[in-house]
Amino acid sequence: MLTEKGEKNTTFHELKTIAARVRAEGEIIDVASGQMAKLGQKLSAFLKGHSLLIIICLFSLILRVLWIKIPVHGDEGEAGYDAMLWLRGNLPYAFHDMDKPPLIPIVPNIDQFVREQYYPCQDVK
Amino acid sequence: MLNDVLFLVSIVALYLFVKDWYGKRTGCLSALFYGIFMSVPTIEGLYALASSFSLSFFIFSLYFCNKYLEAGKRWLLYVSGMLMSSALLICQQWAVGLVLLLIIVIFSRRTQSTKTARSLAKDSIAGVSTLIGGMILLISAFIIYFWSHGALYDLIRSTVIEFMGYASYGSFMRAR
Repeated sequence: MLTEKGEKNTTFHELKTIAARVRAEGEIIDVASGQMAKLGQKLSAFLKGHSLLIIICLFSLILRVLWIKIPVHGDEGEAGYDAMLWLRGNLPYAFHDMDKPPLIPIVPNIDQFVREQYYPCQDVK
Repeated sequence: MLNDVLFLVSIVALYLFVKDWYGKRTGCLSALFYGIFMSVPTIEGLYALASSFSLSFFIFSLYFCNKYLEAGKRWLLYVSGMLMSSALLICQQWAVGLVLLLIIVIFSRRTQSTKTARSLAKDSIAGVSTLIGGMILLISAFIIYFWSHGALYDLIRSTVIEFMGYASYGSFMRAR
C-alpha cells in the first residue's frame, strides 16, 4: 500500500525517467541531424570540387541513352542462351559447349537468375 | 541496364584512383576518354559483353586496391581480390589483372612504409595472402559447384585449356 508521500515519490521518479528519456532522444536527434548536416556538407563539397566529373558522367549517360534501343549483340544473345539453358538444368560445358567463363551468363542476367525464369529476348515479358 | 549502372559508377572509381596516382587533370581526362569511348557503338562498349562487363570490375578492383594502399585496411584488399576474380570469371584475359594486383601490393607497401625489413616482409605476406584469399573465394565456389555436378574437367577444358590453345596462336577468338 502506497502512502501519499510514496505516490508522490513514484510520480516524481516516473517524471524524472521520462525527462531523462526525452533528453536522451533529443540528444540522439541532435547527433543524427548533425551527422546529416555533415554528410550534406561533405556531399556539396564533393560536388563543388568535382563538377567536371559530374559533367563527364552526365555526358556519358546521354551517350548511353542515345543508343539504348540498339539490337542485341550476337555475344549478348549467346550469353543469354547459355543462361536460359543453365536455368533449364543443362549445365554449361558439360551439356552444351561454352568457351567463356561461368560468370558471363549470370551477371548480365542476374535478375532472371534470382527469379529462376529466363526470357531469351529483351522485349518479351 | 546493370552494365550501364556499373559503367557510370566505374567512371567515378576510375577518376578517383587516377586522381590519387597522377593528379586531377589526368583523372578527368581518363574519365572523359573512358566515358566517351565506352559509350560509342563502334567499340561495342555499351553492349553487355564479357570485355565491357569485366572492365568495370577491374576498375573497382583497382579502386579498392588503391584505397587499401591509402588506409591500410585489409578488408579492402580482400574486396579488391574478389572483384578481380569476378573480372576473371567474366573474361579470361583478366588473369593478367591478378598478376598486376599482386605486383602493386608487393611493391607499393615496400616503398611507402618506413618500418623495419622484418615487419615489411610480414606486411607484404599478409597483404598478398589476403589478396589471394579474396581471389580464391569466388573461383573456388565455382570449382566446387562444377565439381559437385561432375563437370569440373569440362569447365577447365573449355575455359583454360582451349583458351590457352587459341591464345597461343595469337588470337582470343575461337576458330569455328
